[in-house]
Amino acid sequence: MIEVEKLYFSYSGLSVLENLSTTFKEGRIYGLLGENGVGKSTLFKLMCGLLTTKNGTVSIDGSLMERKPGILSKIYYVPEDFDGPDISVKNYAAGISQFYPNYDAELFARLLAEFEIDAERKFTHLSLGQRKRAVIALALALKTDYLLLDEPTNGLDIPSKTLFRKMMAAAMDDKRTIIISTHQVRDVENLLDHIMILDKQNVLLDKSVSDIQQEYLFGTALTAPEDALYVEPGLGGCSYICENRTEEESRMNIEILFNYIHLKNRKK
Amino acid sequence: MSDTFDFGRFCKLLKYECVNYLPRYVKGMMVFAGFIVASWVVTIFYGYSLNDRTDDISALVVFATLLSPYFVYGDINDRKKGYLYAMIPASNLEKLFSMMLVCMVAVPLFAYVALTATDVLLWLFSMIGVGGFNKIVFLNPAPIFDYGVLIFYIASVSTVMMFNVLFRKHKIMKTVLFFIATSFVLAFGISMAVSMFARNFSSASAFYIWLGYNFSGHSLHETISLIEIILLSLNIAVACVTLFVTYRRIKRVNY
Repeated sequence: MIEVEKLYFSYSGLSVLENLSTTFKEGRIYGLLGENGVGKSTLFKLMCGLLTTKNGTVSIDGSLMERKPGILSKIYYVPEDFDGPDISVKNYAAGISQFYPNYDAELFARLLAEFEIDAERKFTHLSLGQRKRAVIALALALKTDYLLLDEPTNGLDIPSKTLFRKMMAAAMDDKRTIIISTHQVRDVENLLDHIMILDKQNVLLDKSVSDIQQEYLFGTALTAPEDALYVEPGLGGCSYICENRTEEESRMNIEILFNYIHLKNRKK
Repeated sequence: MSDTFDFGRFCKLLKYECVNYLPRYVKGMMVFAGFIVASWVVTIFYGYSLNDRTDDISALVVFATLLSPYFVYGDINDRKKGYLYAMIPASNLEKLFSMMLVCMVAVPLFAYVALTATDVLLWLFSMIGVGGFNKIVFLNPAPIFDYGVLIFYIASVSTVMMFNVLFRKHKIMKTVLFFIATSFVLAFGISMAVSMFARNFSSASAFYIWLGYNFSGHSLHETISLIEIILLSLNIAVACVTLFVTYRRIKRVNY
């Protein structure tokens, strides 16, 4: 479990995260959402020790986050931009995988084949999308307990996005925690089982998808119901969110949820 | 497994760094090999002494070694690329030792072999005289084993290693500027100290008499020994401080 407690971080005096507290539990795929600049990438970097906390703590399985081998071998981070080293995908994987005890070489070869990546090619000779596919394949094959993905679907073509979802779903188990930060919510909508929406200083929403579905009803109609909490007009009708007063569960629309939560927060 | 140092993990790290980072250095070595070729051309066309190439190779090995941290570990503190290094599940001490081994042993050996091999190949190709290779390897290995030279070598490479992890951009230029500035400050400081000391004498000739008395014959040897001890201590101190700063920086650098 990753525990974030009263976390504060600023860049040159400009605060990005203030007093943030939350937990990321095992066996879940988290969707970390928020507007640009709210500190999603900063939070990721703090969680894997690439940034040092100024106040507050991040702990992983009870140990304070530090760049120590025991902790680093449990976590893998895929940033939004990934240049990659100037060597072949195969050699890089062979080198880095030595440090990860659960690495599955067969799985890596299979994922690369599915993503149509030539393992003999250098990272520097791959396009952004190909680099991303290669590193996602590696990230999954390393089988770390915690996987942090920053905008993983950026740069992926449509078939790769489908494949990405399939792979993520297949990679999930009870011990693993996957946290995906993205603006491309539709790409990962069906994958997530927990949503966290960040604002500059607060966690606006931190709920499981099933709790959200029990609390809210999502729908599309020609005209929105009178009790709709938030309505977004679209072609030939509108999408809406309203309180769920029934036992019925609807398919979650993350975009509508995100906009509603933000609107609610602004009104406060 | 220890979080501070584990020999098995250290070997894995060393292997990883040799495979991942040394290829970058090969490109840099090609430039240095170009100098050897240029030296050879000068030898053929302008009667440049063949033995002088020994010095050329030695000088290039020194340059190649001093530049190695920038070539091999140049991007480890880069905000975009450096995270790959930071996230390697190895301890900071293992990372420091591995960096030391690569920069102080692997790279100089590689540079030495690559440059002398270039020289030998050129010699075989043109069949003119004996290259720098023979002289360096067989005739003059002694300086390498001088402990004073060894400490100075470690201090120099660890200083460059430190600047490599301290500066994020324009590393070589900033390092050179730092050394120029330090030299100016030292030269100014020493000349000020000497001139202030010389004021205690009634005349310039009195000062020269004092110098002659204290820095000649037996006193001169003692003074030289003292200077050697001071320099050795200074080099040990520089090596310790720079390696400690490098360690701290590897541990604390943010991305």
